[in-house]
Amino acid sequence: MPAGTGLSWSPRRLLPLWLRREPLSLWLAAIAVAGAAALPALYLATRAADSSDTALDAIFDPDTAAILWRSIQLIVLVTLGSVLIAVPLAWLTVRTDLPFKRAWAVASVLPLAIPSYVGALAFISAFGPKGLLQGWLEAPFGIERIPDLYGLTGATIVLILLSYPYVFLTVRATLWRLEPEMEEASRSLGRSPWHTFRKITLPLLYPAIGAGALLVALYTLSDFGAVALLQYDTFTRVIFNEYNSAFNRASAAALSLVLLGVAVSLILIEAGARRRARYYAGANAARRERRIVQLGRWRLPASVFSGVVTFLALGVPVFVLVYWLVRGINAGESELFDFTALYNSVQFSIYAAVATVIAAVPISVLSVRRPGLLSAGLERFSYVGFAMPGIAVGLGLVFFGIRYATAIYQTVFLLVFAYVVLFLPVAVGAIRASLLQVNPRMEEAAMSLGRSRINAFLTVTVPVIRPGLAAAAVMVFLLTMKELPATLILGPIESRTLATSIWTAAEEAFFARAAAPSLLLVVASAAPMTFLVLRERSSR
Amino acid sequence: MIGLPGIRKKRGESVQTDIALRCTGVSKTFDGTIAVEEFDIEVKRGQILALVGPSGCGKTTVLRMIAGLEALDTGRIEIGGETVATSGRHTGPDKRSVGIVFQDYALFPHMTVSANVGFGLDRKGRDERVVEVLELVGLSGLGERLPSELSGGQQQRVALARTLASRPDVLLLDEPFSNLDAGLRERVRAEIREILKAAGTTTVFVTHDQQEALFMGDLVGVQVGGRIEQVDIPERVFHRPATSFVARFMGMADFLPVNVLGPRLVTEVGPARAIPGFEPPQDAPLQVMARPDDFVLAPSDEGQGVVIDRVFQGWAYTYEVELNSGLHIHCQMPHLLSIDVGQRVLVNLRRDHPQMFFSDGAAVPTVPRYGQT
Repeated sequence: MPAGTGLSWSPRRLLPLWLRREPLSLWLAAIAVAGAAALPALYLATRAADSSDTALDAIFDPDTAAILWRSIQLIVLVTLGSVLIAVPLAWLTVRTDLPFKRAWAVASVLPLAIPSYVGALAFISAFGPKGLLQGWLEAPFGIERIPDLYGLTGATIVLILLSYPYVFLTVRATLWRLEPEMEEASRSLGRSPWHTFRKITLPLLYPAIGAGALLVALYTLSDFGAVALLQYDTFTRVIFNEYNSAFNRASAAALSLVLLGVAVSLILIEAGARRRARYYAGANAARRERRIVQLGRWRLPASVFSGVVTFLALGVPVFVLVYWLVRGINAGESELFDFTALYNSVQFSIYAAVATVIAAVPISVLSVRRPGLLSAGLERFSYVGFAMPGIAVGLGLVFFGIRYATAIYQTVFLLVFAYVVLFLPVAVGAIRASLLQVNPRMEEAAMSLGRSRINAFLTVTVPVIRPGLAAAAVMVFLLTMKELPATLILGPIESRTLATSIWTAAEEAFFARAAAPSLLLVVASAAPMTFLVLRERSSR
Repeated sequence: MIGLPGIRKKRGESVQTDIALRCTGVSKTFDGTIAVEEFDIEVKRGQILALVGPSGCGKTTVLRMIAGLEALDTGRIEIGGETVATSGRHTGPDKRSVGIVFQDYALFPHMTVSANVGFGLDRKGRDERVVEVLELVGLSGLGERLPSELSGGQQQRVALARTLASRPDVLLLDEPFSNLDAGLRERVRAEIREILKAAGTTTVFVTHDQQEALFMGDLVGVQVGGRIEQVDIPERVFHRPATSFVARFMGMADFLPVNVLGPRLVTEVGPARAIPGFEPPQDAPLQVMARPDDFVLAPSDEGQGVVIDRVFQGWAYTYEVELNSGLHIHCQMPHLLSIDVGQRVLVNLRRDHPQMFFSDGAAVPTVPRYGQT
């Protein structure tokens, strides 16, 4: 240590030169965030290993195989159904003269605003035993039973209707980007429109369909609300019951690990499929307005198809919620709206948004500015929340809290921690995208004009990426408002949130009490989503 | 200088030869903007027509209408004597024997080179034809590659092979060389011209690059503002431009006012020479067109101009000279003679070089313009 030479010693001198180019604090922060994101998975594994006999029993139990089989059935059916609905809808709203295309496009995205437990609750209330439909059929027709909604059928239908927008969005984006020349080349080589669609357009859409299908599959796998209310025993529901009622924590941890394994397998399958197809989707967006397909006599069937999908996915839930709200008001129900829950939800969501955005910045900056093994690895870690269902993150943090952090266990700190882990990928994605728009030369120019690195970042880069930061914060805020399983497990005991109070009301079939908070959640999420879809035009 | 007999001979042929492509009065309007107006063209079997014009002149729209990717508003397009488009009727692109090679090739990224080339072929005889065409474009042995594994020049040839495979009556090339870097471009265009000639394919080729048009075309059509200004063999488009726009677009050109003094045509830089039989128009201002190589400079204190700029181009200098009248002219001289900026110079028109005369932006006809016989 060069004491007395006047040079101050700093820990940075220990680092290799390539590491020193970025402030050390940034790397340390990024490593800390990545470590935190990995924590829940780590503690699930530790907890399972602690009582390895029980854990192994749970993993190799025939019941586990049955749960796995049920989960796979649901995933396959929901994914297939979503693709079958979303691809035609995307094509109709981009390429044809379908009437009211933009309205259908917005309506086809909005189901994403409906939390799965709200969707399930609406369907149970509408089509369940003693539901609204059966009630209306009973008086004139004397029908006392309609096909049972509970189990695989109901879960499949509800989850398809709530998650097909993922495929719709990815396919739609690719349809916009596909160069019309591909199809024109095929046509001028003597091929019919149908042959062109099958051999050119559809294969070029496979990567988009695959990416959307992965999102649907992960959504289905990690969904807790819909399968729990519709009483279909997949991993999430069994894990919750093991933990909550049976208090069997070792087997809950073991099952969570299996669940995590399935999620990772899904991601690997999709990545493998994508690697085999080294596609090149034209980077230059369509420069010309492409030819619009005239639907002719197919206009009516196409409109009916779009109408039925929108009616089921959006119309039914909104109608049912409004119906119960009005009934509640007319009946003078006292607990129509729970302001404490709203206050708690907003509070937690603001904490989560701020914390997640702050946590996402170091990883985003390093992965954009210093692409390399370490930054890529750190970025990979931040995606844990993408693969890890909320229930697994919640459980992992429960074990961590009980053993090492009793002070923050069942406080808002640990809950916000869970939100950060879950929604970090969303924030990193948004911030990365906006950082990629910033020319790093701008910061260098600021530094050559005498600003320090931090000062240059704060005065030049941050103002430019502000929209990205804001988008990330809004998305995390909305996702947190809707989040159920982690909130159920980790929420401070006394504090209800909108999500948990809807859940409690739904479990007890207090539809009137669930209606107002559900509507609020749906409307709050729908507004920014509508904005994003409508903005598509200007960004094209 | 191009002799007239050669032109007469070509014209004589056109009476007997088949017309592979004919557009008559073709017009197209997009949202009130005229893209193509009264477009006429005739291309004989086996000929290459280069359509050249500034960007936005509607040349790509012409290609797309010929291909059937765009419907025309008025006019008629005939391919091999068969009408494929009129204002009321539109034959789809798959029903026309027309192949198009796009600017960015539009290769199908999910198919191998062979599958791309065989895409438009019937199963019967497909494999043999694919091998044959790949050999024609010099890509034998690359059939199992994916387009992403090829260089830009190779992708280009795959796109060409894919289109040639089904033996279209007319081949359309849309700015085919614009995605290649300068060094590669000259080599590739020579190769492609050879391939097209070997295949004997009638070709319409669109470019904004004059050199490319002059090199590639048996015929060059200059298009501006949706209209064809001139169609002719390359030499005549360059040396005998029909309008002052064509003159300027095809290469550097200066226009000097001419005084008609009986039989003499006098300019500020001395007498100009016309082709025998030239009749100057009565009572209309007349201008002479001069390319940089039409001038001769000599340093002289009695000269009628001053050198105001000099650009060194290696084999030559190009001088910009301000004449006493204030007019600027451009003049190319061998590098052996170097004149400093500021030097007064004597400017003359070459005597061995008959000039073109223009009145009101149009060439004063000395020979009949294309299509007017």
